[in-house]
Amino acid sequence: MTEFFSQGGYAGFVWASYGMALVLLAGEVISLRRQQRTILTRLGRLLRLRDSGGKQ
Amino acid sequence: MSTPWFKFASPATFYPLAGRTIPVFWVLAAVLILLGLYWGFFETPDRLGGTNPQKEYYRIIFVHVPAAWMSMWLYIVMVAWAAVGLVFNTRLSFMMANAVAPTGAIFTFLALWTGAFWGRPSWGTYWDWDPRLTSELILFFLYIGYMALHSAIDDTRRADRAAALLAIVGLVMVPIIFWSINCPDPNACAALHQRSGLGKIDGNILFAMLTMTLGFWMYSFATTFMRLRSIILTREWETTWAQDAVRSAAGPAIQAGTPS
Repeated sequence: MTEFFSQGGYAGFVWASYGMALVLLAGEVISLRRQQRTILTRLGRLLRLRDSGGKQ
Repeated sequence: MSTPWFKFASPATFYPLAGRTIPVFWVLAAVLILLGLYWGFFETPDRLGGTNPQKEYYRIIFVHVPAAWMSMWLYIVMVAWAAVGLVFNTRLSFMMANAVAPTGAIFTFLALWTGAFWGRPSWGTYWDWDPRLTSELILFFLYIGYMALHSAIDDTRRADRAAALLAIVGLVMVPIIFWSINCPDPNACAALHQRSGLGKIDGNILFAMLTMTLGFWMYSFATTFMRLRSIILTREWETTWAQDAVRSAAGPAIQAGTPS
């Protein structure tokens, strides 16, 4: 296991590469999910306002 | 307009279609990436001999090459949709080009970043103004420029057209990156990337590399479609179908928030 993580002494280079890949790809997905949720919440609120406005 | 193709060009049709396919692309991406990582780390030799000896750090190849390929491929895809948008004036095509750009920029940055960490142990430097590194950096700036130009223009339709033109002009960088290592005399041009052919690579390394590439591709489909859905909702929210989609997505929340 230690051998795997040390990557023959090149751990810094190998894990800096894979770490950045993980950070960027996971970060993109998280931000996309959050973005879609924000849009749905905002538009939902707007529509609710409109709907209730129509009834009055 | 009777052609069925134009049916899918409508945001109203594509929004639910993209939503249904996203989970499929997630599963494919996860399976392919995990398989590629396993194969790359456990089924490949620790050291490479031959004319270009490499130690364990060559394993960066499994993220570097797929990221670099995706950076170029996604640029081509983005330009294709931008061009379709300009020619046919279809809204969805421009939205598609918009949705591809950030993912392309991420893969371009990843290719540069992983290249630096591979370059340090193998070439002795994180960065050099080598033709391929420089042209890939310009590709990164083109993605950033496309997104910046688009967000700088308030009128969405004008922004679409202006950014599309920029993207099309920038397409010239893709063949430059691709052929930037074809130097007839290695002593005459400072190309650090060596000429390589897929046939020369060890089978296990090639398998892991191609599997990771397919995984990144499926990942790109998933994130592009996610972003596309957000863009569609933002741009089309005044239409009835989009409002219905918002209501059904936030259904329980709306009901909970409504005073009875």
